[in-house]
Amino acid sequence: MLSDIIPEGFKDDVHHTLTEYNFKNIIIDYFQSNGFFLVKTPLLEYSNKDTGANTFKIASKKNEKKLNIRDDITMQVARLSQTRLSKKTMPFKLCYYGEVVRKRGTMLRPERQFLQIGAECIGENSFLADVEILELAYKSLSLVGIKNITLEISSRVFLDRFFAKIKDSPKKDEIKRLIRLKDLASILDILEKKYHKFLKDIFSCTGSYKDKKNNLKKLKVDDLTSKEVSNIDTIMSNFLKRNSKINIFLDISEIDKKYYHSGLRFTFFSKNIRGEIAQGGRYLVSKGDKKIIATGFTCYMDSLLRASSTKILHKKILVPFNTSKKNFQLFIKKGYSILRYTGEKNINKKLARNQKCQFYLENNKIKKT
Amino acid sequence: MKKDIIIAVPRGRIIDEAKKILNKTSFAPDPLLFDSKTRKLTFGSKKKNIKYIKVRAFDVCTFVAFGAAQIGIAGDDIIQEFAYSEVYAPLKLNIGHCRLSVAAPLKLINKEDPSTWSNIRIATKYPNLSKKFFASKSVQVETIKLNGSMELAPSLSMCRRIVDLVSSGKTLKENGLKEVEKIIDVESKLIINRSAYKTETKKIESIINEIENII
Repeated sequence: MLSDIIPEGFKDDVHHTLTEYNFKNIIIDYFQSNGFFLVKTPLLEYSNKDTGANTFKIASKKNEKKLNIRDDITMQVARLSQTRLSKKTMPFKLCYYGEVVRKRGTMLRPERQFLQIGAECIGENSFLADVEILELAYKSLSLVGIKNITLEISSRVFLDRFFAKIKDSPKKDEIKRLIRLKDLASILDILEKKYHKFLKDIFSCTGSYKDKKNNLKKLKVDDLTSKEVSNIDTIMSNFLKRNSKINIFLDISEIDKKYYHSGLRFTFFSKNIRGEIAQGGRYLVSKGDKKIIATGFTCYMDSLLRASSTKILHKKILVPFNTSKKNFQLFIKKGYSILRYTGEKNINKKLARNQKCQFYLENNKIKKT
Repeated sequence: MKKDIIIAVPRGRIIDEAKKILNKTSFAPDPLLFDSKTRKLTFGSKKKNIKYIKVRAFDVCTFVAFGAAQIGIAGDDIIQEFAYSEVYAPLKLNIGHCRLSVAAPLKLINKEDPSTWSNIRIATKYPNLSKKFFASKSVQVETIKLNGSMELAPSLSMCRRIVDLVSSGKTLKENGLKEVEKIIDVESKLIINRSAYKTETKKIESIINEIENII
């Protein structure tokens, strides 16, 4: 007999399916109304050198090509944009949704199957692409009932500059670990004194954007860093013009786990909700020797469900089996989910309650249970 | 609804040292927190919106990583053992100084040549840190996870080494063991939840700053 137990991190879900379905539709509809074209990518991919350590691999015979179950759709969309859509005039905008699977869960996030949703703007160099994606992400999260949103903005340009300076240090890995922990005092204990100022300046840009944005000026140490400081300022001042109420946190000492963003990176948090709820930023898509700029954002449904205060409720009504077509259409129009009664008893309050209906039809009148 | 800030404090030897710092703050805890006989786990403070919880030292990081507490006091040993991505440790508290070390039975030390070992069995509460330390010496570790009385394991032939916290070395000596290698120096730190830091920046920063000014 097959066991009823399913693998750790996976689940049969009977409680959140409707909410998840509605959230997905709300977000995808919003993307499409903003000109993002919906695409679909495959669940399976051939294994290649870029396969991550947390990718679920499918065992195959010796002479067969190895397969992976996708663990992230973003890179699939990037590939799609550079192959099947390579002749499309740039810039173009894509959106997607689909299930992704991870090989392992963690104690903090044991789930191994998620519904991923995202949007990408491919081939747009202008800062306006960042502003648009930021607005799109913020509005999408708001539409599904996420409140008290904090937007964290970051960029790896400054830490890259710092790591380039200390590239020969035997303590580089330890310094990286301590930066992740924001333990500046311990880093200064082991770091050569000549690098202290630059790292302290990086750490001085951690906190409320309003309070810390002027500290960014200290980090203009070369062309690249000066350009990035101006870039952050331009993007944020444009974003804030239309979204002044959002709480913004500046943190350029944050190390990106995935490390594929090349410029401005952003992460959304919500008060009292563990971990991030969405993230995105600017990255480069390779096509041969050519690099194309893309900006996008992605979120996972498990995080949205945890963070949202919206409850999608079935407005369920119990009706006699032979209810007229006219009434049926009327109930559908009013947003009811109709349950036709197939038993022999007369419909009453108790019966409707037993069927988990909030309403029932008695003598052609809608009554509450 | 405004949610309280919860500070997780470890029970055990650190709490007396932490008391000296916390009692000087404007959010000093209910004195009952420091009463070892109380069975209470949640405590108020001088500030209405700040509460304390008392948990096992080993669990402080987990409470903070899950956001059940926004702030906590934890040693480097625990921070590094769990290495949670959701935990920051921005402030050294200058308390709880000790070291995480490898110890061996005195009577075996002179008879052994660890440089020839390919693997070793150890008893410890720290499987991750132990594996990392011995892996750097190309030695595979088989760990026996014990939560206390580690010092008994070698004398009862469970293993050849233990990895545990050492302060004065007195417990090791009384059980016929000797510290042979230090893995890390340990000090207690103020830890904070990553998400809380981003979303409740002002509140968290004011707590960090107040404690920083005291130590």
